[in-house]
Amino acid sequence: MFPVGGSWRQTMAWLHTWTGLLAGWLLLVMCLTGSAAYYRDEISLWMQPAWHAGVTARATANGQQQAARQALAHLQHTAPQAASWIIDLPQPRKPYTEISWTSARGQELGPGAGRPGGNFESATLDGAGRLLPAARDTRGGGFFAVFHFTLHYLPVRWGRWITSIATMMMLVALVSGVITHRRFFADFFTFRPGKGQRSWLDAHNALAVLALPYHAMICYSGLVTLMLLTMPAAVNQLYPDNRGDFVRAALPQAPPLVAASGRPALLADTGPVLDQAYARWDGGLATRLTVQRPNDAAARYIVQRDEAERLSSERQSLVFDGVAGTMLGGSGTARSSATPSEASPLGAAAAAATASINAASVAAAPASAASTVAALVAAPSVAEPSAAAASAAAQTRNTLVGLHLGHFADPLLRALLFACGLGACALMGTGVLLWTVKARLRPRPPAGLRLAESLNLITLAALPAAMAGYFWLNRLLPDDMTRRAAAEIDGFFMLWGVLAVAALAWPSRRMWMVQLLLGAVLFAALPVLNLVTAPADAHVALLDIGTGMVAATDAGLLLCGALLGWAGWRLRPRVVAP
Amino acid sequence: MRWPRWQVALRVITAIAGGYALTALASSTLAVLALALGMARVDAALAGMLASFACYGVIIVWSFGAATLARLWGSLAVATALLWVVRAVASALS
Repeated sequence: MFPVGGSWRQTMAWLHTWTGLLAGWLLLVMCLTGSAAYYRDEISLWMQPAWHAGVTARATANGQQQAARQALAHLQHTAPQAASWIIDLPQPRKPYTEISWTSARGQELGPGAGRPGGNFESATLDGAGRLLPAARDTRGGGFFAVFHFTLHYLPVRWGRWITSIATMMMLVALVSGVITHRRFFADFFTFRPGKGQRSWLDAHNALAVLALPYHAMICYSGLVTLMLLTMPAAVNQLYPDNRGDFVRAALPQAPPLVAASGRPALLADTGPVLDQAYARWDGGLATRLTVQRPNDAAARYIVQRDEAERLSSERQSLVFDGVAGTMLGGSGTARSSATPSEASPLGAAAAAATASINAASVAAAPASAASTVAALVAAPSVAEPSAAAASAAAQTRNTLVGLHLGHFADPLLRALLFACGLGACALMGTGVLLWTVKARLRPRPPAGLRLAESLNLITLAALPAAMAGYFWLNRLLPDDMTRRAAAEIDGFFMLWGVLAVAALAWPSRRMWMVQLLLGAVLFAALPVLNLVTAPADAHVALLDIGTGMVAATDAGLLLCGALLGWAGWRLRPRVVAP
Repeated sequence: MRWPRWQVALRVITAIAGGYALTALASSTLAVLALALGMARVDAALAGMLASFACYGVIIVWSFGAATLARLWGSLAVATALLWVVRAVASALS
């Protein structure tokens, strides 16, 4: 063990080394998959090739109003008697309209919110109001988003605790790292490439200083998203008898399902309803239109604001009389229980990822278990306009969660966030590499060196290759396979596992090259795979506004391949050792 | 000067377990204090939780930064006592 004791700075260096080393590899996994999650909607769309040829709906006031009318017409035809309808309106990154409705067998919805699979049916409409082919059973980009804090196979709370502990260690590593680093700004301009250990250290320092605000933000906000689970002391103190009261007050719930009157009535036109909402939000767009008790005199429209244009993850919603079309103000009368529709994973931020495209498929056990807790601890809330505007503490929380999720980011800012995410990966990667490079130079290398070298390989080379493999499985597994979404994910872990075993057995420079190049080839060939496996008419629409998203995703995947290829190529055997 | 292993172990335990316990106390004290100063109950609880991780981080760093174990434990004991008193007083007021 690295000796500890002595000067303050040496002690901090020791703390930095150990927190970094113990949590570094797990943090790398979280950071890499979390960075991919910035593009979850894009990945999810890429993973639905049958939808690539659809006419895209525009995320404008007019586009949304047109989408709402088309959705309503479809729902009137399909499920006129349903207890409620949910219309997820087109968003800048979701060019289609998702509709879901309570199915006949699930008329009476139990309190177990968050499981739309059993009670809801859903479909997707394109911009022309045409029904798109049934969604492919996949978790899409949501898998990366959810995996990065649940670790997938673990029980619901375990993954969250483990990732929170690792994140806490990251916070300590950041603080001790800054303290250790005496030439904080000078080192920012220091880079000595091609000098082995010195170069890794320079890169580590430059990455840390360059994006320190990002590292601190993503670290602290990550802790905040799960704080109700990991740090509940304050709630236990102020709500000793009923934590539920806190949850309801802090994350105001959507209005409950109103009782039906039994008298039929015509639904008001959605256009003016949405217009009132846009006016109320100074032009802010809506994300979801819920219709409670359609075709009944008691009908209600609930319009939820799109959080994409705002930093905060706080959600606002407005309630309208469904027959008269007049605004009833706040979101409902009682605060009691959330309607299953509103608390479903369709709306829960973390799990929305899961459900972003295929609502019906998320009933798989891990997903629904995850969404229940996610709804509790990480979901943006539906704020009640009737209650006072969010206070400073609530706004701080909502802003931190919003920053972590990055829903607000436009394409350029999103790319910057993704680059910062990769920068954080590089920070952690150079950190663990630096440790092994230094350890190898010692007269008696430490016992864990070989394992550390393998872990470097598993996280930095094998994981990207396995992530590319997940994309391949999305296209190669048959459409009608049972438990298809789970099979894609199992396949990802199998590929990662095989590469990990190889890395444990032969943690050599050649293995680095092989795995990096494998990842490069897998990523770089994805656009070709997309071209080959998407329906023929998708190619015509490839450069259309909405499916330009697919072309951009292809380009991004190609870039990932190029990055891995460059890294692998640098490791090629050379006649003269560097 | 190098710390013996048992001292490293004690500091690690102090940092993790002691740090969590003291953070929980600090977090609930802050919440009670905020409530006593007129903040809404929900916000007071949120404020206490939001600040907790910074507090935990500082305690962990201090667990290794303190020159001697006596100074470390002494300071944590004083902080605990102070927080306890503040929380009791604030609880009585609110």
